[in-house]
Amino acid sequence: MSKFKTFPSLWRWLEERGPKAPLSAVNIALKRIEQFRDLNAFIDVWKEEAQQLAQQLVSEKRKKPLHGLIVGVKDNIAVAGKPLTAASKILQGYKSPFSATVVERLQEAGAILIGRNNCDEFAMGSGNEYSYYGPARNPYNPDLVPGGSSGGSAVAVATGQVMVALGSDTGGSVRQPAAYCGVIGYKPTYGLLSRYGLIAFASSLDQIGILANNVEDIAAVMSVAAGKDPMDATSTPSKTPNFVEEIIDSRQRKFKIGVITETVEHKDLHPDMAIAMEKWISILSKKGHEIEYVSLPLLDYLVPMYQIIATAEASANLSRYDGVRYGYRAEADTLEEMYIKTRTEGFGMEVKRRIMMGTFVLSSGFYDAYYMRALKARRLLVNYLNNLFKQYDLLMLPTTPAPAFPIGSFAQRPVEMYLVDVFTVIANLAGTPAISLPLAWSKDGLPLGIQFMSKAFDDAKLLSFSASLFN
Amino acid sequence: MEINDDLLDKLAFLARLRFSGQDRERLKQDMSQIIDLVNKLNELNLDEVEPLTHISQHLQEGRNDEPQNPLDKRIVLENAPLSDSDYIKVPPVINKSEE
Repeated sequence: MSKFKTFPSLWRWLEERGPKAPLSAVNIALKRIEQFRDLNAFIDVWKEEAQQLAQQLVSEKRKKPLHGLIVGVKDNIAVAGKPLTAASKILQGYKSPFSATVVERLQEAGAILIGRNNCDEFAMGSGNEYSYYGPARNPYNPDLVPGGSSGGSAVAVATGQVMVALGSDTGGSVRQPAAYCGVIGYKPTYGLLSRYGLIAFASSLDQIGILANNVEDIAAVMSVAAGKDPMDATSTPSKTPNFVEEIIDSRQRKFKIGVITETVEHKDLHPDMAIAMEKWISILSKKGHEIEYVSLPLLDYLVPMYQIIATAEASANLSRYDGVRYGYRAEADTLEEMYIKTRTEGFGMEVKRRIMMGTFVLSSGFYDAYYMRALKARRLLVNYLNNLFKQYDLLMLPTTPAPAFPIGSFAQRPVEMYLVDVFTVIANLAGTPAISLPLAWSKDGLPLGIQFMSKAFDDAKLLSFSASLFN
Repeated sequence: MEINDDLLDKLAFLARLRFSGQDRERLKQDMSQIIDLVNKLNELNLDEVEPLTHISQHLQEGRNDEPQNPLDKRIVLENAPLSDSDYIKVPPVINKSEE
């Protein structure tokens, strides 16, 4: 858990602070946003609106489900009337005409959106280093990355600038920064939270996720935000559970947990992470859970699979940024030249690298050898995991091989940075839920995350188990 | 696999991007490295495997084919870099020298 001053869960805050809770929360949040400005967690702060809304909530007699929940929103999730840029130059000047469905549902439930969080450009990065607004920094050591791509969201939660933050997770972008900053990062099942209003990176992998300091707040958000959305055809048509009720009495339940052997024996695993895993395996056994080691022979093939599928989908999704309808436009004499100049000047190098890779794997002559192979390998993975989940309630693995790395470590070695995602891409490729829990520390005092996964749409079980570890 | 100048130019054209100088050399190197990384998938026997194209487990239903309120034109035009009262303006589609 965070070593900084943070908010307790919303229900406890309301209990402790009484009717004026929303107002004092906003004022404390604003003070901390100012205090931690150097960490660059926020691109925009919506001070007056947040204060006004808090005042209004104070005067309302009936409490809403998220009455005064202070929320930060990653700069790739739309809030009507607010700038939305995916931390990119190419979207400078764009104001979203509509809100993401998740944002709308949170607002209706009484949440207070307090600002836009920094992130990697188009959510492409593992350190929040590739932002048009400069890097966000790790609160435990400002020379380290906070993780990415939802780095600003993780920093804001870790330092108590917000209660909850919305991020997006395409290959680990919620869970990895959560692990590096010592907070909880949850990626729901693909389709459980609407993606309408989330700027598309890789549509078969993208999922809005939640960062928080306690499972209760995550359950509260999920209870109002999850479920069918007519604006997102991939959103689940099934009735979604009441997550708040599901996590009550969570300690009673015992689970069968599979520890993925290839992750704890991984060649890049930091010794402190190995110790943390060992320690928690023993704690969970003592709590009465049944633990076994399981094999995932495909582990080394996951980042290659992910790189092909994510870049392919990104190259298609990012073709819409052409300088015509919104955002940045470069001056040029012809339309064709305007497209090229706008995109060349508007996108950062990491984004361009991925567009080029995606164009490569989709281009004629390479399509079958790369893109089709990756789709086939993805089916192998999904089948294999489905079988594992017939035998185990949960899978357990580290969130990352090691604690946060120094800013600039991978500047000349992008391929090595991709390998940091080795343990998080599994859940995106399979569409399953996964959560990173801040359960351990390195010898140097840096947070370490341990990850748990369940089968698709078993999110309530995953959250219930997670809650039991903190009670 | 080596990315040569011809292939880079072909891909850059498809992606409507342009690379020159140092960026160009770096990109050739980086892409070669990424391709070497993803070539690992060649080790898998995938002959009998069907590609997975949709991750959703449920059938996607279309909505009824009825017109709904699209975005107001005024709001759309406000976001455009250049527009008049009704249209988004762009540079000439046909180069003057080609006329």
